[in-house]
Amino acid sequence: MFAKWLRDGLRSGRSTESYPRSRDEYIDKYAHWTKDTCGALDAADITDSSAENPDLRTLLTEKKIRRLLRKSLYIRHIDAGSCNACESEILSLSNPYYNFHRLGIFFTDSPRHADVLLVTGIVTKAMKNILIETYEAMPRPRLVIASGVCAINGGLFQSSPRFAGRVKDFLPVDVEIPGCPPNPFALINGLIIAVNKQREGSRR
Amino acid sequence: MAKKEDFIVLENNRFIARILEKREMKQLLHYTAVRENHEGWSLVALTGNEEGKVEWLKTVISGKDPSIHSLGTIWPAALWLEREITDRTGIEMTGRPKSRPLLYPEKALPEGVAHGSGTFHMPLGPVRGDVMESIVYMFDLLGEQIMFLDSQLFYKHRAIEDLAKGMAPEQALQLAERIGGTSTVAHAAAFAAAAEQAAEIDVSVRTVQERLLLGELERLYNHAHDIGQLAGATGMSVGQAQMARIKEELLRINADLSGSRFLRGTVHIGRPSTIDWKIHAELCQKKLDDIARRFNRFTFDLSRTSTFIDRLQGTGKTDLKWVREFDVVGPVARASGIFHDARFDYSQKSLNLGSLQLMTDLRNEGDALGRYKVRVDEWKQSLEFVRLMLAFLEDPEWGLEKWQDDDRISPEKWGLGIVESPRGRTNHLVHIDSDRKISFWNVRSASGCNWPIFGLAAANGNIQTDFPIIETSFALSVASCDR
Repeated sequence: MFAKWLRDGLRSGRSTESYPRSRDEYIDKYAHWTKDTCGALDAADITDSSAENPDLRTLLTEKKIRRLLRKSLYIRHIDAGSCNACESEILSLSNPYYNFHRLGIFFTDSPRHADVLLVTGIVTKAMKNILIETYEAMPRPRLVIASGVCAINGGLFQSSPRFAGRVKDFLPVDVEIPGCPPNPFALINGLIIAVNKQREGSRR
Repeated sequence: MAKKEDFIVLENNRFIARILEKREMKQLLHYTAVRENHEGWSLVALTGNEEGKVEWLKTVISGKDPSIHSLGTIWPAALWLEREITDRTGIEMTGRPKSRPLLYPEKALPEGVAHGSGTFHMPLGPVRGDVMESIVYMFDLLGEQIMFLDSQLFYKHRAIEDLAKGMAPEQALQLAERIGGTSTVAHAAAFAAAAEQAAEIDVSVRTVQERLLLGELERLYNHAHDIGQLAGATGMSVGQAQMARIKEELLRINADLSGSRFLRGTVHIGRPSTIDWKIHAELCQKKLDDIARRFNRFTFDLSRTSTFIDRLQGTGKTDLKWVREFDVVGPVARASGIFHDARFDYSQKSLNLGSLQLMTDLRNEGDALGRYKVRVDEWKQSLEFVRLMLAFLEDPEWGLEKWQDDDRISPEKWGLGIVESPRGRTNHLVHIDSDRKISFWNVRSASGCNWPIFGLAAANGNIQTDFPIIETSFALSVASCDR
């Protein structure tokens, strides 16, 4: 039975085993991932958060990026009131296409082991204290990433009676990743930018 | 345009009795409170019968201490809806024990019910392993055995329905898309259908059929994801990775078509999307062929892997009685042998559903294996339907005639939209005022229908280590329920 899976794995192997030889075309096709849009949105105003996610490849040399990734990075994700699209994209990071484990980035179950707190969604009144407690439980130095328009400025839900505030109203946000939801490439980009920021000496 | 027929207004007790009439044949679509101008509140109930006819019922609640006899104590499908009504309006439900507020988890949390030697309570969440939505589970355990499970949702309650008040339907459509990100099309299509009915906007056959197609594209990636997560929960990493790969490719097809991986901005009020099917259809067909080949191979392999099947068989069983009483929908209901699917139950005669069939698990066990099988079968059906629809939509002249539908009746300025989302029936109830702005909106999502029995299924003779399998096999969305 397991021989079957092994045989099958060897036969189709490329996507679970080998590292992609060429660049993923998708990254250029969706070049707008650094901007504040999600392509098909009619109304621009909902994603107008003035957050930037500059393309890592234009900021740093490949050598520098490699050096940044010498140490592993552990992410604790917290959903403070999202619509589940952000979660879906974050989960995509571990699929064979993005395979962020190859960069030494992993999810962790406990905030005690986390380097990065990845926040998605608007901060609702019920989640406000839980968000702060989760941050307090993290060891220093710690990074906070607001991912998606909702986390950055509340997006469409700013006037909701259950909206407690933006993530940066409660926690020191290091990097904001725009998008509704942010593309997995944008997430990886944002994660590495956060590491770069930390290594550059903005340690807390 | 569809016919107009006013609410059946009944006195309080007659109202409850009318809802309960022949309830084993009915589905409870909506049960909610509407603000009346002077008299306080009125309760609105929508029930659908076997023939797909919807009954619009209403009762006015007056008096200083508004109260009505509890419906949920007789028909459990209304349990959570009733708690929501009480939280929102303060209407007391007589005849039911007091329960903690549902909408405000910061006020009270589940405390557990089991007592005695050897039992203990274990809270889990809202921040827990992996990338998950925020929810609290309170386990009552005896050793490893789950005795009782209470779940507290609404941590992510964003009050979307209130937020839309005073908005134009086009604007509120963006909110509808963001009720649940992985059921974007289902919510948007249900909302658009409701708003169109309320505002008496005529749509073309093409618009309606295109929404069906987009809904099936959504089902494809959702089911692939759910099957992958289920494989992951049983430790089948290869199966999980392969399914994740299929999901990613399906999301990329969505992005190629519409520019959004979750098909956002594809549903519009009163008109079809701007997608040029002629350009995409051929390439899309080709990619789908490749994906289908791999999907078939890996689900076939999974079905023949005994470590996978053994873990699913008999895990998280849903009792047929609960499924009926709680009005459960979607693959969860169909795995118990319930023949319910909104595409067919409320299907409009003129719609072309192609070779789509209602898929149930013939074992009628209602376990995780049944839900897995239903999803696999539905995936294959959906793919065939997408292929068929693509061929139709390739022709830009196809389906431009007005869509005739005499079955749908609604009171003046009210509208109801029913859609089968990947997780089950999703319906929206909309009322617009004279300025064509939203004045009332109620969302009943598939997850909202299914969450109440999740705890029962999890405690049905399972142990702690079964829990991830039960959770992934239900594959419910927290956001859709919380709104």
